[in-house]
Amino acid sequence: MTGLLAELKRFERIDLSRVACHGAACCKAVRYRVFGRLMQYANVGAALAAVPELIRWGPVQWPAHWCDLPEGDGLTGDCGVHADVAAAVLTREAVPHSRGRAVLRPAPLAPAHWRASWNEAGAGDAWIAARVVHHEVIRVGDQWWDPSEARWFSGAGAHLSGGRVLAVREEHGSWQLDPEASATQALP
Amino acid sequence: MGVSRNAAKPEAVEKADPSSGEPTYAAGTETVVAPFGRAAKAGTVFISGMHSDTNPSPGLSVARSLRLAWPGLRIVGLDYSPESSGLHSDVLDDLVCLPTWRRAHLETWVEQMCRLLEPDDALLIPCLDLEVRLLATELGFHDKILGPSKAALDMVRKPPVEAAERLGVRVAEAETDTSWHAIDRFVRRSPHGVWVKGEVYDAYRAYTAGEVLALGSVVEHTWGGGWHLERHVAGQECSIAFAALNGRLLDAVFVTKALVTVAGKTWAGEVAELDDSLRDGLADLVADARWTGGGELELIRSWHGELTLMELNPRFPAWIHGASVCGINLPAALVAGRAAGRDRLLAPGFTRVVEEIPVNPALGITPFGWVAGGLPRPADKHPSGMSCLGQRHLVPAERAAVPEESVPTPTATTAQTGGFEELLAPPGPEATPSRHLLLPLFAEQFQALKEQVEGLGNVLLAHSVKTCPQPAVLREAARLGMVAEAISLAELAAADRFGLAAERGILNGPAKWWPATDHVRCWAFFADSVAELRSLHARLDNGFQLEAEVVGIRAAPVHVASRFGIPLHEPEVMAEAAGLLSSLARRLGATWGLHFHFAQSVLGASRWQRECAAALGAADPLADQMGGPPAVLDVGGGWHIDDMPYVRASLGYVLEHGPAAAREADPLLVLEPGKILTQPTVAVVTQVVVRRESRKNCDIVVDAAEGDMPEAPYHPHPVARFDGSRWVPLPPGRDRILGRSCMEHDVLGVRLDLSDVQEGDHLAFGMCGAYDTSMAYDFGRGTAPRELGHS
Ligand SMILES: [Zn+2]
Ligand SMILES: [Zn+2]
Repeated sequence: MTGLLAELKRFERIDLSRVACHGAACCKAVRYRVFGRLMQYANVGAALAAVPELIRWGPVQWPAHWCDLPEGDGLTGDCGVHADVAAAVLTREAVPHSRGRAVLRPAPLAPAHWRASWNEAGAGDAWIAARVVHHEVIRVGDQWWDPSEARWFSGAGAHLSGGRVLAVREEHGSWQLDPEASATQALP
Repeated sequence: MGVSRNAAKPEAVEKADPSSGEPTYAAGTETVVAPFGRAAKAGTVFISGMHSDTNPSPGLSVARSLRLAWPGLRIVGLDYSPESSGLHSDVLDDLVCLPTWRRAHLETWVEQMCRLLEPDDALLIPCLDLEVRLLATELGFHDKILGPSKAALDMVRKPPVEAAERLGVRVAEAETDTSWHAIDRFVRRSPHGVWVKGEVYDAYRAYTAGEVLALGSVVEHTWGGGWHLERHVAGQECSIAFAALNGRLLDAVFVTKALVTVAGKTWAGEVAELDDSLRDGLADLVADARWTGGGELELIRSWHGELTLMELNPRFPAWIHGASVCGINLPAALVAGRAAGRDRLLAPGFTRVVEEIPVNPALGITPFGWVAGGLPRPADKHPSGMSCLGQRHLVPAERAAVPEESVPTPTATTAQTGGFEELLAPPGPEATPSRHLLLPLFAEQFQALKEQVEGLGNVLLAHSVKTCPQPAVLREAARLGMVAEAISLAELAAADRFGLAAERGILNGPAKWWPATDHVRCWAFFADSVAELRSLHARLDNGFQLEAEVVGIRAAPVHVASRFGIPLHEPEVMAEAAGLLSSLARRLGATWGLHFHFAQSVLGASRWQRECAAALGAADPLADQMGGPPAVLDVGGGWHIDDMPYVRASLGYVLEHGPAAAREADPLLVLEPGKILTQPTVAVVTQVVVRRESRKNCDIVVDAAEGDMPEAPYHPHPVARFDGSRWVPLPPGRDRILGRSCMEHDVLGVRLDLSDVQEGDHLAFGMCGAYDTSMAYDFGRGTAPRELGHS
């Protein structure tokens, strides 16, 4: 358990992601590209599902601007970008929500892949610890929304395709731990 | 009763000898009882619907659940084909394979079913929709059949409006009028598509009226019954499965689909208890219906959490064993006849896996079946032969295939036809087909449009010359104060000749400078591509004289594919377009504008307004690069005649959600609504040449053809018949109007009632203005293109 608590402390120091704007055409054109596409969906769930389809999951160097996202023919962003864009969609649709973070325990062989990709891109890998990873999520009502997987989940104890949710924390809130993980599955 | 693990032929039923074969498991000999206690009086449970593929019937799942509860219970699978794969499973103690419904004899089937259920301890759980209905019709109440009665089934027919009310959930919007016009309108107003639903079984997703008509006839042919349309509801699919006995709810489970197959069948699901209000509503519903047996409510949960009821099935769902392994065993509750306690610990969900098993030696493997066409046969959608059963019309239809004799007979009304037949003069001596201009309808449409845009700010209405270059219409447009929207210099000149001044005109389209000239004067033009902007610069360098007050570009739609417009959502393209546009504006001393154009009649109002707002959103980043906001926002795209009431809301949406410039900079809004103004202004009068009757319906051939109204094969047109004194709209039915030409697709009207129509009668097609007139062509008249000469 102490291992997990230490990681939580460390993850708290990661800022929740906010994509910045240069206030000029370079960023406004990218914003138009993103939100123009998302406007087409009459349904909130569909618009949110389109976020990770439009912005391919991958490394971003923070702090990031909108004009940093284009890569090749597409756009690239991590779960922080997904969360920031999804939150903007929710705001547009007048759905009350708040930003938040989750700690996931992925499959044991996964973190090595992510660390390698992030290092190759020269992006910070503070979100990857030995056994757990930091992941940005959104709180909506009494549920949680994973903006990168476009899924609802119930909170700590749930399973996402990225791994088991060991802990969640709303911005300005406190950590809620997976009761089972804290009892029996403490980190070394 | 047959030899265990053997295919019991129906005849074998009579010769059943309990002492042969393996022990039968009467209630008293059960080895495991908890938590269901004894299986009531059950010694043998028959279960039908045993096929198991990616679209399985529920039987095998029900059998596994009973086996889970009572390892010693005698379970017999029943189906109508040895290809029903679940019959091979070793979960079964025995099986009954009846002949396919194509070859079955109804009275014999009833007799055999009754004999199977003769022993005191026998029960049947029917798991096939049509079989459930047939049992209810033929056997009435039968205390050994754990399926709903006829009265219960009548209560829950489709669409399940009453059931939804009981449960306090929504019901999908439905359309039971299956005339072409009603289908076309319902599809256009369903942004996520529609479902074509058979009365008893089958549902197909469709996105166009043409697809609906085709799928509707597939349903009619496959099942022999009627169909209706339901609007697709976007969201997460979930289900409530339940078991009830004589109106008492025994147990229920709520499952949310987590993985589905390509065909939308459940592959994995989350399992949960029902919340109290759903449970109470369901208990009331099954009590009122005096429901016995399994059942399933198919629901959609929106992102916000509201539930919409899509279907109510009179049997367990095929995934029912998934709930059983998680801790809610509904088949066991049904057989035990006891309500389950609710203080139970559930596993959170289930998933399916694929499993290969050896065939039962008694059934063997059925060899490959060749089919005409030579393609390998896909795993049959209905190996239990339910479609054959449907075609035999043994189950009374709930609704006729088309509203033939329903009371009152639906008749076409003036509201559906736009009233064209009231303006049309009686047929004269002129040759048919003939075209008639109904000019008052143009002014009427214009007035209606004006009311729609009133109060929306500074709005200019433009007439799309291409939708009706008729001099009388151009003059009328000028009189009403419209400006011309032209796609060629030839159109601009024609408009100018009849009062729509070129210097107030707008040039659009990919080849607006055709035919070539060295001097053009217009009010505004919108470049369709970056290449067009570049070439304009080059032509100005070479002395081309261009006078325009507004220079603009057309934004490509962001989401739908289009061959038109500049993809401003690509930042480099936007930067280049902005550079060329601002220098062009400077050269001409003009202000700048942005244009969006896509057929509203194709997208429907909801999708159109979103595309429009998204595309025009480019005005904001463009304004940064242009050094100021746009002076003009121009929106176009032929609106559907039925959607006039949506114009105001759609433009309101665009102003609210489009670029900030639309709200802050007070630009002039130009509206080019295209065919909505001109569609009703022409009628085509034709005469019936041939009337051909068949057993089921009748076709008539008229002397008009698709060349006289090129849109008629693709979009519904109102039709009226002259009855000697006045034009009377044709009512819906199942007949067709065929065009004169030799083309297969030259079908001008479908799903009409032509019983009163005789050879020589005059018919009039309304809504033949716009492209039906401006794109009309000679075909099958012996004429040749003039420029090829006449010698
Ligand atoms: Zn920037
Ligand atoms: Zn993440």
